[in-house]
Amino acid sequence: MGQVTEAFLTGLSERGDEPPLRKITGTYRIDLRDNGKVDHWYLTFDGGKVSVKNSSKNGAKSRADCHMITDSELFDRMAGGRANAMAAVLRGAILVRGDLDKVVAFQRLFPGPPSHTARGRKQ
Amino acid sequence: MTGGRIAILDGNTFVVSDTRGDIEATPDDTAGLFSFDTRFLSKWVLTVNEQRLSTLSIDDLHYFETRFFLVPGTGTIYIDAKLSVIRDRTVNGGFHEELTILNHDDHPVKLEVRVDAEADFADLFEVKDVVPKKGKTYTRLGNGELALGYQRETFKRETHISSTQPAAFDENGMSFEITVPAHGRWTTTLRIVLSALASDGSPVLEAREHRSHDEMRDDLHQWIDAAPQLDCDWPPLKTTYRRSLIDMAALRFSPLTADGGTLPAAGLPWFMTMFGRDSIITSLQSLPILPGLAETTLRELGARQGTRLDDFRDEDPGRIMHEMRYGEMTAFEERPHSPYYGTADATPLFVVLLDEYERWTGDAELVRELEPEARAAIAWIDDYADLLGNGYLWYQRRNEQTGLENQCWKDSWDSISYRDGRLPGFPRATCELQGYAYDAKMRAARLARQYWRDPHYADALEKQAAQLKRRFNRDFWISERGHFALALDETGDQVDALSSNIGHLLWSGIVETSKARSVVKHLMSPQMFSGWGIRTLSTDEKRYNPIGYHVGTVWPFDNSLIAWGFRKYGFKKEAARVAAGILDAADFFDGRLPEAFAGYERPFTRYPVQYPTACSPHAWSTGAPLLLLRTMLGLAPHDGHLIVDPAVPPGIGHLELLNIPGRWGRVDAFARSAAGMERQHLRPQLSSVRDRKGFAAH
Repeated sequence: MGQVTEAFLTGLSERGDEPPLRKITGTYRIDLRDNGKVDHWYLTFDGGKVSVKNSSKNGAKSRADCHMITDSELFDRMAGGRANAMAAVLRGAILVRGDLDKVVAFQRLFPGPPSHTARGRKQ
Repeated sequence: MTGGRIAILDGNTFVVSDTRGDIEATPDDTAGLFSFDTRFLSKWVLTVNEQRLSTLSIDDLHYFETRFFLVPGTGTIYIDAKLSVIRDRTVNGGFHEELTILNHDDHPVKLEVRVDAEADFADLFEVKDVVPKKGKTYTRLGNGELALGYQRETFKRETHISSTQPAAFDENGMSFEITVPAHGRWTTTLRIVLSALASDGSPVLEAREHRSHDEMRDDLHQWIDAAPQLDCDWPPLKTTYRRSLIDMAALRFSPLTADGGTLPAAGLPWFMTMFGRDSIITSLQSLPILPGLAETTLRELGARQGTRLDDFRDEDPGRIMHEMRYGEMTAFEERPHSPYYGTADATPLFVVLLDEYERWTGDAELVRELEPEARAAIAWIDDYADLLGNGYLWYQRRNEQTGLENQCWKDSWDSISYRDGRLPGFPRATCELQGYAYDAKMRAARLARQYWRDPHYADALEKQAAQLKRRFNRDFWISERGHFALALDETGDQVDALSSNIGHLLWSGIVETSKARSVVKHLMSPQMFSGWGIRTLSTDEKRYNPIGYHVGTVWPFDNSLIAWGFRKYGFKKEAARVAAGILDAADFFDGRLPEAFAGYERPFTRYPVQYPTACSPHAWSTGAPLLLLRTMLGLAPHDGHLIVDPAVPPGIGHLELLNIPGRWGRVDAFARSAAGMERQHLRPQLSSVRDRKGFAAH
């Protein structure tokens, strides 16, 4: 598991009042595959509160409203803003079980690419 | 008779074939069966005894169903055919084709019926630009079907072809050896099922359950029955209204995340997807008639609102998307449409639609639900779109390869010019964008006060809007000519062409009352008003071209918004005159307005010359008659009830719209033209009828 992924997922519980995050409710399970091993993450969103649990034990499989399965290498790039999640869904690189609208809501939490050329007051 | 194009569709699945029902696509040709922006069939050719067929007639039964009546042989002279072939094709997810062969002879006939099939799995973008494929195609036989497939890494798309009658499948299609009895018939149903798969074979884009043909027909009838009923003394308006309702049904697109809700896609067939600008404007136009479209548009665009800075997608926090695509090039990040955000107007218009939607429907719940999105949209205007820090909304793409140069509705390369034809640099601040920003703030202020319990925010927004209005009326006004500039350039100078964009300013309310009459006069001058409608660019400007996409043609949707603006500032008669011209034009197209028509003066051609375009029906042209009805009847929601203040062009006579839905339940609106028909024409045109004050186009 990459450090970027871990920082991104554990950081969700500290992002607090961000509207895109507050909009999400429900449970997510994310399975990250890496050389035959699978790392499981369980997330619960409730009006801005997020609980994040990580388990590499294969036995600990629980149901979720939205279940995403992908390679940890790809997730690392998404968590670092270097790959786009909706494009990955379209090309079958993220397998989705459950609600697609939950994926659309979740992918808004990923950061943008490390650099940009935007101007305007907020840049 | 094989030329011409037949297109039928369901959502974003559509078939474009020749008039025999055959598909024979070349790499850059637009025939085929498409779904989710991918061509799932590039060849589909029917032969009987190795002969192609000829068309006797075509029945366009519904937008999702066509019936082709054919006979064997392709000679140009009449063939006394002993056989009839009927292909009844329905699109639902994939398509069904009921193939029937009738033998009119006194003895049985043995036939070899064959369908050749091929799929190139081209992305719509590849069809436009001809890009070679990077993955591999394959075919698979077995389980009573032929599967055509394509795979590139984890990206997999398949077309499954089967038949209810036993068929001999091979890699290029299927054959039937049949005997049709004397005066008998043979029938089979060919079924095409499409799938988008991940590498493990699980579905990626699982479309909602495919509806049966009867369910689709019932759905269309319910759609029409739920809309208000129109009656009037001028029959073409009734035809146009009905055409708009049916075409709007065809243009409905149900995003996979919308739980069955539908929003208007931009145009059939190439733009059958979610667009920020097109879906919003069409929803605005349709609100009095079909308010449900706005709700889905708001929810789905809100769910995809930008959250980060991404140069490739021109995404910013708070920005509303421009266009969503689902094909291979988007999936591999070779195109930015997942979604692409390069539009400067969808974000303020999102807020405008939310407020207008609430005024009509009273749906306070959605206003509360979308409060964060509306606030983020307003914040985008100030924080990310004011590229020069001078209080205006500017655009400049950051994706210089595949992003859009002009991010306003006039998105072609030469649409924004000075009078002398020069093109300004970037960034650009077109005038209508400032109007939208003003309107968005004023409307958000109302919502903040009434629903978000935030009067301070409301006060701040109104103050900002007032400042913008003052600034705008100073900086954009060309006092020696008496109209607003088309835009400001990157140095803050006026881009001084006279354009239809200034008509949108009246709709937005940013025009100081003292300047309104002069603006209206310019728009109705012979340089701008062709007799059919208001041109995109004045005939006096260097780049004017009556058949130039955004530099001289007349756009029905543009005119519908301008007419709405005329009404807002009290110019009833001018609004009616624009409505008359556009509705007259609609009559020449059997009620289906094209995207645009030529800017020729009306007496010069006598009929509106259609701009050659690939999309028909086009969403906001379909919405134009609906909005024109609103402007003619003077419908306006006010304090929970509906005001009716008609100004109907001469010639329509009696006009009634019954069961207008809204927060008031259902109400009826009645109106009558200022004067009745005075002259009888074979083709009575509204603009040729004079009223007592001599008002007529020509």
